[in-house]
Amino acid sequence: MSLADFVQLFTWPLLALCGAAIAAPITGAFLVSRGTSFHGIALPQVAACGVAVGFALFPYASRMTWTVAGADDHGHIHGVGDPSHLYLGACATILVIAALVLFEAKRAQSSDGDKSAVVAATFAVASGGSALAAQLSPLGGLHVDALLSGETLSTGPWDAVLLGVVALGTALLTWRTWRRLTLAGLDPDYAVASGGKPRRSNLALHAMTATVVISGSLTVGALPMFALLVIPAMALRRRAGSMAGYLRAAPLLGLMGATLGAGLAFQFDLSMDASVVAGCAIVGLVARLIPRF
Amino acid sequence: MTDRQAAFVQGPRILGLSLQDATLGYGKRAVLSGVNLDVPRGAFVSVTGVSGAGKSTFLRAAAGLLPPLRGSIQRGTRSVAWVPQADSLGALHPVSAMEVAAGASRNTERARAALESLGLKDEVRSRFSRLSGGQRQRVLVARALVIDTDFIVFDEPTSALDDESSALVRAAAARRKAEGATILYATHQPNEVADLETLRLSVAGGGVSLSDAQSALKTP
Repeated sequence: MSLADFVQLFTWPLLALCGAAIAAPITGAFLVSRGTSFHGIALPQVAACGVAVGFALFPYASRMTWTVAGADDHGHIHGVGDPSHLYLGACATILVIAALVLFEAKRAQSSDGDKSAVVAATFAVASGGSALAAQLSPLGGLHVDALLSGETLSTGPWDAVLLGVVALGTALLTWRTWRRLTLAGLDPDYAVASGGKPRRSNLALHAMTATVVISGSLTVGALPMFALLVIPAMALRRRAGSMAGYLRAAPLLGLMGATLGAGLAFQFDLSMDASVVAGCAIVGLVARLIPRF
Repeated sequence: MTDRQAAFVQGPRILGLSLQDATLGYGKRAVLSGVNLDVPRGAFVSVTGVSGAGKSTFLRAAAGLLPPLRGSIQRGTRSVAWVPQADSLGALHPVSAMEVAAGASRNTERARAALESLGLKDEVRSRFSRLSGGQRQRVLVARALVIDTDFIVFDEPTSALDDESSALVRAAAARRKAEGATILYATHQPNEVADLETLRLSVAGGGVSLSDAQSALKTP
């Protein structure tokens, strides 16, 4: 396949990936700064679990009788009515919000070690829940697994538009509120004393995180979201001399990682999701060599 | 209205700070009880007491960070410039000195001027976590000069500073006092602000006592 054919075939998945590569590293920069990098791993898995649970519960939710067709040429099994992205998004949203509420409650009550343990345990439960729910799904685990890992060929224009809107919204919200979001994590006492509302800022950050994680997990898949949320922000944190510079550089590195990942997928005929992780890891390592900025 | 907001009442403008029959503490544990005091607007109050006596509890309550378990707290201003010890800030944030000094404000020129007044002209763009302890503390004092309020709480701002840095911090506090700000200044060495203090608040034995600075100076 030529590069032109590759780009033509994967136009919408690549555009969706660009949206995720802008939105996720910006969100990740706040998560890493606050010492909550584990959220970047746990939340996409929780969203994936929500999607899998949505598949498993769909026959009951829609009150319809399922007739499962045979596998298609790609090995995927399709029923007469696939659950809509809206329904799956709602399922993922419920679980992601529940996880965020749990993390926030533990943040106020527990020591740092306990908080990390809660997030790690959430990841473990979500991973097991995703596998079980996928097996219980009348569509079969293969179909669910394909969606969770970012079934790139099924990513259409609406997915790209969704990720584009999310990326734009994330960039705008950050541009307008990054000082308050930063202060709420850096020095919440000062924020309260000076008449600010750090809880409102934290809520805005949680909403941004949930939106990015859910939309990204539903389109490009959970695996690229793990990488895009954590690796660019982690790689740049020690190089950045200011929060403003950090927030500008993180999406640039995310885009470079996603581009490299897509290039690896094209060159070696690899799956896009794992290639994006590899691309992020490579540019993350290279970023450690750049001068401080 | 939240409990925290309900616990603090904005008093008349002539008032600096007033606590009436206040019990201060954490959860159900009272650290200071029966606190009654009135601090007039524009006073410079040095807050003294041995470690663990409850100075930080009092300061946090005065700054609006700790609702009283009982009683009431009134302040003349809604917002407070809180100057904590520098090591209390989140160390992972890659923030510059300028960004810390500006806080949530977009007024970077004012932050730059405050940093320069505290001898940090060459460190404006430096990363906060790479500054020395004394420089970081001065950045936090600069932040208190940027915010638009007449109530400032210093929590042992010079405890980790050299003489030169301490003098710059005291000069900044003196400037704000001259502008009419009410200042609470916690210190283990009250003599360092003997020329500034108008009242001295001693925290000991689960309570506080407020005395005129001149009479406090005469006390052996």
